[in-house]
Amino acid sequence: MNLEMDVENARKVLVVDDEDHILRVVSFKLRGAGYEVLEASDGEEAWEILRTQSVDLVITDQQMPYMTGLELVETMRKQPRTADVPVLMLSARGFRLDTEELERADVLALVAKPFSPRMLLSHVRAVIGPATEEPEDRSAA
Amino acid sequence: MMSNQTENTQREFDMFSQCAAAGILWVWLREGAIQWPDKSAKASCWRAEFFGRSSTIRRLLSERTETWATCEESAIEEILPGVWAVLSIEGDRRCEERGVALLVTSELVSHPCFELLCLESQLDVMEVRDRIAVETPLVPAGGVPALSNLIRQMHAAEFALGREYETADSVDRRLSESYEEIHLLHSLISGLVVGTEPDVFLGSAATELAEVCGFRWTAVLVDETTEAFAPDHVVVGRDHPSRAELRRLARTGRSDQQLASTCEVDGHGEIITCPIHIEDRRLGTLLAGGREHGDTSSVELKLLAAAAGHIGIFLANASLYADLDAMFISTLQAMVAAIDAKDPYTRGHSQRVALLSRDLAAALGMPDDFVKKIHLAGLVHDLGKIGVPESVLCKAGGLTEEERGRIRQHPQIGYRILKDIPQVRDLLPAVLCHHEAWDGTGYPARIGGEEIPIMARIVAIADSFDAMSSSRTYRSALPREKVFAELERCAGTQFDPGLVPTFLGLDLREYDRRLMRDCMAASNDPAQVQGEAA
Repeated sequence: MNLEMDVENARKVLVVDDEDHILRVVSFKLRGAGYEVLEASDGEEAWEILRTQSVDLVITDQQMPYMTGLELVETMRKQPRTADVPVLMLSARGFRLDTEELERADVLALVAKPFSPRMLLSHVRAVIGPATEEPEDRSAA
Repeated sequence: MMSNQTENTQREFDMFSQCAAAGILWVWLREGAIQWPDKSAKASCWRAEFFGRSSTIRRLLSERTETWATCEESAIEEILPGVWAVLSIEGDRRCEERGVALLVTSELVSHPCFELLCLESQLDVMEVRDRIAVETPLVPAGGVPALSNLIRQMHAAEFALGREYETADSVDRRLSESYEEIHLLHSLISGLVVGTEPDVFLGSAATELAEVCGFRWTAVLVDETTEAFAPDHVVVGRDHPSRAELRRLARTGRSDQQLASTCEVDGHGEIITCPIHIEDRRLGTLLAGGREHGDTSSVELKLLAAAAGHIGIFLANASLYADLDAMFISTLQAMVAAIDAKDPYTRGHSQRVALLSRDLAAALGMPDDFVKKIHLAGLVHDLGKIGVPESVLCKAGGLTEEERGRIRQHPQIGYRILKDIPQVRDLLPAVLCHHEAWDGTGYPARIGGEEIPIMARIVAIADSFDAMSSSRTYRSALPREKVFAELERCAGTQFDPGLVPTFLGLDLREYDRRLMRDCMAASNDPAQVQGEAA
């Protein structure tokens, strides 16, 4: 009944999407691999979290109500504490995004939906490394 | 939201701490034994020590445990005066959960055995009395039934919640798997466009599959019957078995079943094979191996089978497409043969012009697509002759001005015949302009230089070369060196001077074989004898 688990020293990922099922799948996959996951269903909610907590990575959808993914990243880049947080962006397949804008916002990769959770996980691993320094739970992979 | 497994641990802890708050010690009954709480579970306070450390209570509890582990009904028992155990059972045989709530009533404190039990548990009697007085007043024995009801209801609610968590967990897993499948199918479907080169499609399908499933290598083996239009095998990745080994695996994996299956192969570990079918026709085998994340699960098998299904559709389509393409070309050839038959001297002319145009375009480094098109352009360049009377086409002597005019109309006639067929639209420049000259003295439009489409400039050289190299109604064939000299002489007047040197460097052996064959056929043809007699 040790409730603390290893979440305390696990790397923290903020997932932002207005679609519940996307949040659900991404969280399931990342938590299974040992990451700590925070969820937000729009850009404003995400920004509220980012203002108070430090995260290792942000995965955000582009098309969301109130604030688009790109607007969220632009806001992040203006604040010193979030300026260097790496960002992966999700976007509907076929939705055209200006590559220059993405580069300017320093978005590391654009992942088209429907995406493969496995490939998203390997993206995350490539960017911030495994969930903890200790060997990971292999069954989750 | 925590992961569902954590949620279940949390749930177990909730049950424990909620009971503790009401002065009850809740223990789980697992595999026929009581699971005492961890030392770290602070919420248990003195009761955990009281029940857990007293040898008398532990003995009495372990005597009862055997019955509790197997009995079918929940039960309430007073195991010592003022010490009660409430057994709670939830679920069914398939998934069952048992727990025991241990509680003390006010009767215990006044009973002589209280001090003895405290002594056994190494607890200070006075301290325990004080804590009972300030913390949670004890219920009397009469309150036990009502309390046990509450405990069971709480257990039932927690159990239902646990089932929900498990369901949520399996739904999450299925959702994640479905995403993998949708992603893979999406990627494969985008490659299913008719006309995609088979090796390109098979290569990208194999790569996609390797990436999504974490295979070190994937391979598509195409059966011999389908090889005419597709490569016989495509392998991507590293550390894969040799082609011969793959072939052998594909054969051993061959069975009536249309599903993916796994087998162990020395030196290569687990390998998955999946037949590629379209309806009942077997087209090939999909193989994969060297998974980087442990053993293959049913998910990978399902994904592989889905990919095999799409590859099957693609191969079947590619086969139909190849058939259509072949039919289109044979139709053109039949039309052309009809023209050539009007004048036995020009028999095979269009085929030979097609051959020469293709070779010249390839030698000039034109893209494959262009080379394929110019071959067709060569075939149809003289199609307009169908509209020129035979008496003019086959006339042995000199032509009158009017007759020459009729012949000179054949580019436009050909253009008009073909212009409404979308599949040959790209060939029209060659049909219309193959008699234009570099210096602007040709026909019909008298355009010159690079105004003449490149396709037409190429066909023009091939056309003239073949005309001079074969016998015509009005003269016999010229020797090769005279033909070459004529081409060189006319470079810059009739022909594009940039193309002639490349043409002179072509390997003409295939052309010569064909010319010889066409001549032999013509000399055995009664139509020619008639023509000569006329």
